[in-house]
Amino acid sequence: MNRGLLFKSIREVWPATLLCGLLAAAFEGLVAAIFPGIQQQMGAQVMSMEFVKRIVEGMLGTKIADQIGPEVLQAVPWAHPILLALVLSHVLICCTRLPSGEVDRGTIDIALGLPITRWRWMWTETVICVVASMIVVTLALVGSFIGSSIAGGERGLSLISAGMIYVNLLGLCLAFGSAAWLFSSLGDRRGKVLTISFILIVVSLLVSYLEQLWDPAGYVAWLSALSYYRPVNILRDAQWPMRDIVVLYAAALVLWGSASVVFCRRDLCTT
Amino acid sequence: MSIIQTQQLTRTYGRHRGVQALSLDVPRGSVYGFLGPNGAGKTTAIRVLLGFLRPSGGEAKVFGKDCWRDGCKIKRDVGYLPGDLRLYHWMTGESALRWVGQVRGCDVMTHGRELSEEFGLDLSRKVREMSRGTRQKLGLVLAMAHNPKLLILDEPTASLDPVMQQKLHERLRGMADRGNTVFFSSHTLSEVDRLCDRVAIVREGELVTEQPLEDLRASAGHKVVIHWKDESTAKTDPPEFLKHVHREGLTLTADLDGPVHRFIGWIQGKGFDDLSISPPDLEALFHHYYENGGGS
Repeated sequence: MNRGLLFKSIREVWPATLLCGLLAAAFEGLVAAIFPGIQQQMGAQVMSMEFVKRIVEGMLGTKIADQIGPEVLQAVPWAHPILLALVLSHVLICCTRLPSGEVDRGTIDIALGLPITRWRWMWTETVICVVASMIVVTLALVGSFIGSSIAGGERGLSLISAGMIYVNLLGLCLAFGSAAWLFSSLGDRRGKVLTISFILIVVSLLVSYLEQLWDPAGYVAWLSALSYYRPVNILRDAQWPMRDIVVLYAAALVLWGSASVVFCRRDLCTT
Repeated sequence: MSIIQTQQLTRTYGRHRGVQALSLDVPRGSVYGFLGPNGAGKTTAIRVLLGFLRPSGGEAKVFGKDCWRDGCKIKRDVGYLPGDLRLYHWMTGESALRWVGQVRGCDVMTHGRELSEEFGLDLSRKVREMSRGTRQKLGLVLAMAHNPKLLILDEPTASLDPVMQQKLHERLRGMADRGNTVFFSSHTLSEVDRLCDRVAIVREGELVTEQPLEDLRASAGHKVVIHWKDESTAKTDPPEFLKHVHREGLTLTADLDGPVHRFIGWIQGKGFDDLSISPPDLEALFHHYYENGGGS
């Protein structure tokens, strides 16, 4: 790592990290605080209604055996589009800075004119992106714990469940982040790279959602990174989702490796 | 010893030409002018030298090292000012200088502050608040603060005022006198004339000429104007080394092709009232190279 590049990246990344982290914490905290009350207010009949069940299944990306139980409601805020939008927007912001962000704003020339290998620059940025993603997910968990304690604390996440969700959600962030990084390494315009990355996330979300509602979507569901993030299964089975974690982290590693190779070997300059 | 050496360096962008079979040899301690019209390939060549672009053919070496493979090692001793300088807008001059020092892993603050003072640069201002000229000054400070062995400047005086240009010229000359090398591209012919030891002119990606400025000056030729004493002397046949002869009454205007002493030898004893020999017209020569590639 390079100290100068590290400080520069921290300076550029911390506002987005703090903003997304606090918003995620606020959302998780709010939901954790009000959901137990909602569950009590909703009658068992509403919970067993087929269309309500299908909508919740679509959001959680998995089948719910019978009724919507407490663990299902507990999983909703972790699969909710607001949380996903916050953590994934943050990771896109971080992972598209190099090189397309630098080329786009014309600063790549001054940075590449300094004695730093591209590989070392990539490493420094990787550390920043991983740590920043960890901070956002940690803040979301902290928000959830605070919300649960306000609501009474009994229905909050257990530490082990929180750990599983943390590792799984971080893997999801890293997989999408690495894909965005690969697009960034191949492109010169950050706006275009962000658009492509955003489309990837939306398509992934759509496939994961449709999988529960429309059988043909099931054939391509394995391609969607969101198919490997199932907080409801974690909370229901209380077991590490090893397959999902391995797939997400392996995808992240392969995509990041590809991004590194492209970044280190391609021509780079202000266009 | 050559600081920069390129052999048949070629860099193309798909069907577009960047540079074609460019062979340069930049000696240590020289101020080397790299000239050419817009789109001639100057910036492309500089980017290859700095390892931003991979050559399509030929080779490029700085300090004897390959520019693509050993780019990082080379840049320890290189200061670079891009042609289209963009800096991180949230930085101040001071923080930009500190950042460069941190990335380079050496102290650049002391010399950087000295340079800023000399250039009249306020380091406490944010980059986003700086005018284009002030940003250019900061770029120069960042490029020179570690006292590089090789300074590569892409059109450094664009957007600098004449006083600042003068200061920069003095600084660059001083660096070259201490054994450092300055390689710069420019459009300003007067500064090339004043500053450079050697020049290379490129046109449409190809090297048109590469020689010491003195030789170029000699080849530029002098303009001579002769005012003959009377009608009979005005009929004197001009020698073959006077080109583009133009007569108007008793006045003869021509371009001198060759050394001045040969002309003086010829004119002696001939009846003339007045004679003027103007200095070599480099500008006309450069225009000639830019437009015709050195051909007639």
